[in-house]
Amino acid sequence: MTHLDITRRNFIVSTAAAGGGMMLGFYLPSAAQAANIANNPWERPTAKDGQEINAWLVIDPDGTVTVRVAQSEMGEGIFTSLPMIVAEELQADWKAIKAEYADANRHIKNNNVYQRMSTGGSGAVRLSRVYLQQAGASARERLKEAAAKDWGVTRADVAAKDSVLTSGTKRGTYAEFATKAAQITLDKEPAIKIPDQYTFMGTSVARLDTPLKVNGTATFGIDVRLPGMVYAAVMAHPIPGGDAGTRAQRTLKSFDFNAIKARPGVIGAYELKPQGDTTSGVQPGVAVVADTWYRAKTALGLMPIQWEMGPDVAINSNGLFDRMRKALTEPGAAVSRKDGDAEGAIAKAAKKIEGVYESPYVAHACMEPMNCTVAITNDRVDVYGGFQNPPGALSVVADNLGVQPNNVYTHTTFLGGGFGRRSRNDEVRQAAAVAKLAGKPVKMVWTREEDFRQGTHRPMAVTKFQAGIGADGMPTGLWIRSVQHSITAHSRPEAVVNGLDNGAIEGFRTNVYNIPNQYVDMHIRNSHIPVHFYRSVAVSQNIFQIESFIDEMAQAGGKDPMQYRIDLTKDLPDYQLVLKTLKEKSGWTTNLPKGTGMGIGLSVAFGTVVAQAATVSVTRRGALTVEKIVCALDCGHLVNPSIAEAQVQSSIVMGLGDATIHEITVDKGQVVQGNFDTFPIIRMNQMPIIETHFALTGGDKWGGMGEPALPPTAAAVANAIFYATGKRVRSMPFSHTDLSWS
Amino acid sequence: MADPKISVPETAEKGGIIPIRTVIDHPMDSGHNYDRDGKLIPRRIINTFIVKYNGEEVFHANLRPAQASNPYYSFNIKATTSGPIDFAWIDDDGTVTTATRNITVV
Amino acid sequence: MNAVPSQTLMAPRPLNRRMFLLGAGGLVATVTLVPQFAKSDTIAFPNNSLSYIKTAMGEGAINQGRITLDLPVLAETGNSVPITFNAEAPMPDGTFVKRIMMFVPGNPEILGADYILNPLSGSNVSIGTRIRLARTQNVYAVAQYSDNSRWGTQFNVLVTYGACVEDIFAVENEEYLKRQEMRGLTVPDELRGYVVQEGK
Repeated sequence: MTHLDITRRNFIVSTAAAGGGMMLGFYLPSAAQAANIANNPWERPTAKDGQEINAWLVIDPDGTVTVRVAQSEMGEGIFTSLPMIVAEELQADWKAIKAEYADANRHIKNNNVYQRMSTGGSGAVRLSRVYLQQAGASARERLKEAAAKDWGVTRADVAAKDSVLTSGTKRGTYAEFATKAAQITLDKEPAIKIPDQYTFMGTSVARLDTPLKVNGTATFGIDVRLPGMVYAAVMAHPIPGGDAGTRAQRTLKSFDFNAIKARPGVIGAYELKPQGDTTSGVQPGVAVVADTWYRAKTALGLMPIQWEMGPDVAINSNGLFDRMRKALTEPGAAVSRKDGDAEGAIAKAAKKIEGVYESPYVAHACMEPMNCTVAITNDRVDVYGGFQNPPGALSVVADNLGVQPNNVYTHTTFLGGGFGRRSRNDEVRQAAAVAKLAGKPVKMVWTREEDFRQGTHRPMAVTKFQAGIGADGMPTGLWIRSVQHSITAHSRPEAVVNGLDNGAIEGFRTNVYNIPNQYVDMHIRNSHIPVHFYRSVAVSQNIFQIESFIDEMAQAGGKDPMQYRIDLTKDLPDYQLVLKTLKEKSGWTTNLPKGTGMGIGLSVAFGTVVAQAATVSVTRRGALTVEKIVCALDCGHLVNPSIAEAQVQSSIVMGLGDATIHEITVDKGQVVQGNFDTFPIIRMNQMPIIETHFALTGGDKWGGMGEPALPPTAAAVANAIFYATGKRVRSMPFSHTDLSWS
Repeated sequence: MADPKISVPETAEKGGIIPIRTVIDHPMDSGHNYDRDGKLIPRRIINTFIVKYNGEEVFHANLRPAQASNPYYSFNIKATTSGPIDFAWIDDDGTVTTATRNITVV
Repeated sequence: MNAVPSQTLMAPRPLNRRMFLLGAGGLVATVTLVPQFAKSDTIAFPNNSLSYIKTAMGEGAINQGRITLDLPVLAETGNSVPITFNAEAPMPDGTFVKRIMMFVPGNPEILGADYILNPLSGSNVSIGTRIRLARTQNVYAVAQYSDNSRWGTQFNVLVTYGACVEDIFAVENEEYLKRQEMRGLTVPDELRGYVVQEGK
């Protein structure tokens, strides 16, 4: 039971605040509105005038309830799951529920009224559930109170269900009492339901956004159209990122606009001057503006541009990996964990093993390339795009243009993939700069090549493991030294103390295994390549590494890897439940004929414990097929099981890609990959059968679902490959390892 | 430190306000940031910004690592008589950069 | 997990999202959510700022008022956050501002700025500059007038860099610390994770 004091939540659910509008309008019948979300999801999905009960919901005269959603829809289903939470408490008829995005401008004007408007950290449901339930409960009670007052009864005598209020023979609708309810302040806010009381949360209702995505009317950033809008194609410096030292020497020398001036539709070419932070700020570059994007892009491609490359032109992936490998034996590592004496235990052990594991940079590769539309007028700036952090986007535009945040309005679209990439707002800063230079509303879209080149990637890492195995086959000590490109050292240096970035070594430092002597330390080895949060963040590269080594440890001790993990997490009930569920549902065995194998991977992220068993087959010549992945997980509770299951499947697809084919390499300081020919992603014919089993411990646990199922996949596949071929894969992607066997 | 940019009006009314804006290029390494090898970049900031008007110190700013790079200041000074307004920026390494503007008070 | 200093009067700030991550026995008791900024004559400043204030401005309570801060409600990256110090001056009795100090308890060093003014600069006080904020925090400013009275204010700035550190790193860290404790393993302070100490 969460212990938040109910009375303190008054302010988030009390009467419609300034800026909310308290008009009661009249419903004018128009064409049947089948869609529950407007094509432009920042707009009202229904007749304009409704009664705002609190910042989170509006009730129209026809009974339609519009729920405002503070997170961004990037396929993870929040446009459905978050309104479900409000609806559970509100007791409104779900068929009458529609959704729209909450307004970031209002959020910053009204003291962050929407609590949290960033999308990430698998946090939409887990971090907002309580106050969304509260918003719904408060509105419900105020509606009941309004009816009670009218009918001369007490609130306790009024029942609320399916948007109808009843008491004895009296009956009224939510719509009828909306205005009165908006005026009411309760002495004491109602308690919210506990999961045992849920009647709606936990059911797999159909998504509200599916119709728009099926019929193509959903507006993504790339679809935005404004009157008088022009289009910009941009090229930022081919060597991305950098730092204070190298950035100054990495410049735009010149560009020859005359060479393209006469091309059809070309309006102008503008220098983008570096501004703001090294990597999320505006990079040196050039923008070409034209009347269509194709014309802008073609002209840009033909325009001669001279760059001063700067010292980072000497950097390449081989060099970066060598530097990381070298650091494994360099002094000065920052200690993160020290239980007992791992070195001593390993030295004395009956058996010692060690291994070095490597993971490269990986691109988010959102299907919708980075884009943003900015329109500047004298009184306001309007910004359109797929933002994972709309108030952040608002803030960078205000900052970049030197205008008051109160005059900046962001309009979030649907997102064609986020994965963390769309929380950086580097493209937003850039678009604002272009719009200011062009003096017209501009839609700026990156080419796929620009998207890869300027992508901010998942960090690369090299890790060395050592373990001591006892005579009984169980581990006596585990020693880990990891060399990481640290996101935190750049973005939040104050959270790095003496070279220790605990975020970068999550999964190592926080590993759950009950091994008595453990030691974890790390080196930071960054490069100019900009890095940012990728789906599941550090565990996306770390779990493959540690879970593969745990398997090596199990082999060295003659243990079954499944039983090994069960034995090493005996004191953790949720891990026991998840592992045992997986063992049963996957038909776990290590006894498959050569050429086929099963492997396991276990991880935890954002509070959700996940274990996966992969079944693979490998031909003698080393061609890998991932046949099936069975996933068992404990996220505590589910709001919409079908949406959660889709998140498991999509995480596994991405994890599988990371495992087998995703890779960003650097040569002459530049990102080599430019499109999906050189950065392949998992295709339909590579899709394994995926089975998802929820093994929920419930209680206080509310784990995230957007990311946690990604990390175990690579380890499960690698460990399965070992059983199939006898070969141990030690680097991602597996395409670099020869899997042939005889 | 690169040449500071200073904005001071040419004239001001006696008893009125002289609005002043200054900015100077300087990375202002706070001492809390890391280089690529995870080593702390040592502190090096402009630690003092002094403004004198007719030889008298009117604004003395002790700058700290919390000062953003390329320190910018805008502030007001009451106009008394015509004369020089002197600016000085002092770096941790001892370097002093100076500049002067003249104000005519009418 | 570092608690918000208990004497901090927070600007009206919605639910601390860390509360969700901690469940029972978390920081509920120390997070003060005040719907209305409590009417109080004095303002409490963070512990680590007090010795700076005492040295520069002497002892005594800091009154609320006269000085205001222009700061954005939200800053992306925190590397360059515009700030303006406005102070009522000169007062009807002719007193002017002689000193302003600014504190950033969420930064590694708590003293953020220190300005010494005179009658000519302390009479029409609107000082604009740009500061660095390491993370979401209350920014405090105190102005001392020529009659030695002290007046203060504070403003909360949300600093995000794509995401909040707590959203990304806090859950597993908390679980790890609990697990270590359950297994009888001590974790020294400096290894407890995303604990950013109040600036000194």
